[in-house]
Amino acid sequence: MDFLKLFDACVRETKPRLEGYIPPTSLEVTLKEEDIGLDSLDVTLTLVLLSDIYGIPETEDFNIPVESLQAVHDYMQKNKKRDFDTVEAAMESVT
Amino acid sequence: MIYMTHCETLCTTEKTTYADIAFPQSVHIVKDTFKRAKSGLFYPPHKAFDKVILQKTIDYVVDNPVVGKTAFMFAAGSQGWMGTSGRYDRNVDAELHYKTKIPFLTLTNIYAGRIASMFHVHDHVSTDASACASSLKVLMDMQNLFWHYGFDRVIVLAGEDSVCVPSLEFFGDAKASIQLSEEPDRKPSAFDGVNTGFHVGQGAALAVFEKEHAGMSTPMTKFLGAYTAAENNTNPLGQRPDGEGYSKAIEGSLHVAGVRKEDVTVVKTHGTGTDANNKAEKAALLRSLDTFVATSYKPRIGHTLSASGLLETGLLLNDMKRGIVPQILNRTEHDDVFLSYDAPAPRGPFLSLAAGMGNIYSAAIFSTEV
Repeated sequence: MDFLKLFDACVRETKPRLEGYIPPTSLEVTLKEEDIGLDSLDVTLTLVLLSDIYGIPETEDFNIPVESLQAVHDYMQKNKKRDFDTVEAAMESVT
Repeated sequence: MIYMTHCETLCTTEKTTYADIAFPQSVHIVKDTFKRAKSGLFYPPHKAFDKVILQKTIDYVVDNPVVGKTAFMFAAGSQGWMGTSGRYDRNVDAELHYKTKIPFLTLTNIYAGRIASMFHVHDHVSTDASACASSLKVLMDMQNLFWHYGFDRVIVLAGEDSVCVPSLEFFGDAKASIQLSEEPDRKPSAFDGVNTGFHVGQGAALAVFEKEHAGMSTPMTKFLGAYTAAENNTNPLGQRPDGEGYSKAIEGSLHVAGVRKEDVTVVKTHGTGTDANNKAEKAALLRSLDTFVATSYKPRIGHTLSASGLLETGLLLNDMKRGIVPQILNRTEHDDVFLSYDAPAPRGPFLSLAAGMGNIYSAAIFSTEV
């Protein structure tokens, strides 16, 4: 599954208006507002949705690294409890 | 002079029955707003708000700046039912059951800041928790900003999670919402001797109020004044049968609007149809006004809680534009005042009422003469 496409799908699901959002084209992109056009609430919601998709249990310390999409990707791969072949299947898993 | 230039509303006359909760009942629900709610990441009221926060309204506000300040007010009613724990919402398998993974502050106050930012509003943002009176109560705050603090535009968003298991069970437990077992014999109505009570309904409204300016679009109505009062009652969940709270709100709004009681000829009542509200609101109206016709929208769309005051005002404006004040559904007696039939809409000032738990009574006066 293409992680960039999955991240983009999660943003589109959680962000009420996409004005200002810059769809990422590389895992090197940071999650800073000036780089990707997401505010802190957008980032939190997107990461919680990603965690939900990968079946990662909620923890008291919300310790997903946010330096870059690569760091988010690596965290998800390391901690995932399930995975999907396609972005569509991943999004459909969210009830 | 203050005008309402936009009023987008969301509600439905359709009903769906939910039998898997403690107090089975029918509900006016916009089902697609509940998509993925069970994940805890998507909050149905926000999905409902998405349907009234139109890009064309944002563009209007952004592209037509006013000279003075602009405010954004979120009339959030009870600020979230679904977090309630305890005796309600015990069936986690219920179709409408969900629990958000996001703190309430994010769902209300922070959400208000986010939506305000979409409208480029940076002068004043507030979130109100005046229960079911919220969306009319904020109009008193709004007029204060217009009259005393240099504001030229106020955007009001109204709504809450009126439809969720805790709210349905709360109103069912209180015997205010009509239960499934009663449905064949009891229909929602107001000020009626036979049919009483309501179904709960999902709703949202977004309105733009502004002082006249060069780029202003054609006004829908003129806002004349609003007032919110409490009454001398030791029970904050009750209503005095003499309608003291409603009367104080009505008379206060007449005063600030500079309107004589005989000039108000149409009333959008709170009109929940409960015995207590029927007595209180009717007594107050007959005492505080002269000759009028009154309607209630709750028998049609359900009780949308915080959204109801503003949302129903928007519905009345549309109906009056069509030339009618609609009947109160399911009246069993002929009534020329608390209408049992559609009446022609007169022009001039009209009154909107709302009441909220916690001893809150709100009234707002508008005029169709713009």
